[in-house]
Amino acid sequence: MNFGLSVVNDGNYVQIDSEQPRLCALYNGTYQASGSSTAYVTFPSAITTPEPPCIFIRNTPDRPDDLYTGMTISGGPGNWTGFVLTTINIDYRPYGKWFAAVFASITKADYGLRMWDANSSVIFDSGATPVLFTKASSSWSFQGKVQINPIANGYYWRNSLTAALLADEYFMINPFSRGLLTPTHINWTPIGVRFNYSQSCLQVFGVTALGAWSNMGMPGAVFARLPGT
Amino acid sequence: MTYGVRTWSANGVLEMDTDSYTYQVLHNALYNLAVTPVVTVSIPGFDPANCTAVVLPTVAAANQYCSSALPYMTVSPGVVQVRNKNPAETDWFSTSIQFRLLVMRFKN
Repeated sequence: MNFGLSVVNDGNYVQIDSEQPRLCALYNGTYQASGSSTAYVTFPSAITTPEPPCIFIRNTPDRPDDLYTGMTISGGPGNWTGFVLTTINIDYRPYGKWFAAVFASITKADYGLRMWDANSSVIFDSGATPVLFTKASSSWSFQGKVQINPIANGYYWRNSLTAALLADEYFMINPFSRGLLTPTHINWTPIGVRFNYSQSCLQVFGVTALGAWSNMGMPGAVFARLPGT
Repeated sequence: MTYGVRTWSANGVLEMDTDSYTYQVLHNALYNLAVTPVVTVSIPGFDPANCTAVVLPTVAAANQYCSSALPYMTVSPGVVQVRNKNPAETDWFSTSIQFRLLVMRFKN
């Protein structure tokens, strides 16, 4: 490492350096749809990274049944302006909290610590808090199949990590932001994801008339805190 | 805290404390399943009990076909693998998305 600061904690984790930029939370807020199953969020300023930001959400416990089927980031490379959350049923109303994080930082704070890399890009700023990952799991179990309507079935899986979601804790929705592969068919299987507050776990539903594999692989369920939000 | 760093905000709130932020990025790279249908990454020290991997799509979905779908990812000690097809798929139906693979250790 030629630039920056290398920090190692008691557990020997290298935590900040210029070689492995980390996820920093740039903006946060709430989302709420009123008359439809779609919620639109606009960032206070465009996020200028080449790659889309990571979006973390906390679906409200007040609407525990809502399943999120889509998360589309608005804008394009260098100009990400917001995102759109869609739920899988017209009666659902997406409602909750969010934050957006990127592998970069911006200058926001008047107090604290700011660092630059060899190319003069800001890699750390106290005002853009590094994301505090709290827990994660790649282990899933198939829970079964339910009939949704005369045509479609819901296939559902739960993450094996069972733990309550703290008031300022979120899950990353990017790994669940589009459909699953469908057995021997060109269409993807739309999925719905939510934090299930009664079972205290992340849950994924695949809704399809075409069948599904009970083994959907091991997508990462990643939780993070944004303290005080 | 014996080792590490803490930062406080302008109003005195402790914002970052390396004691409470115990993760380390082990691997962080871009891949394209249209070019490499099966991505196998060797990550020394990767233990599914305290590490995780996420697929972050970097290009918007073009449609709702398999070509834009999420890939099939598995993790095992020392290895993360992302496949363009479910291993049970015998036909051609597969995804060809571009993504960032982020792998991290998140607890001791």
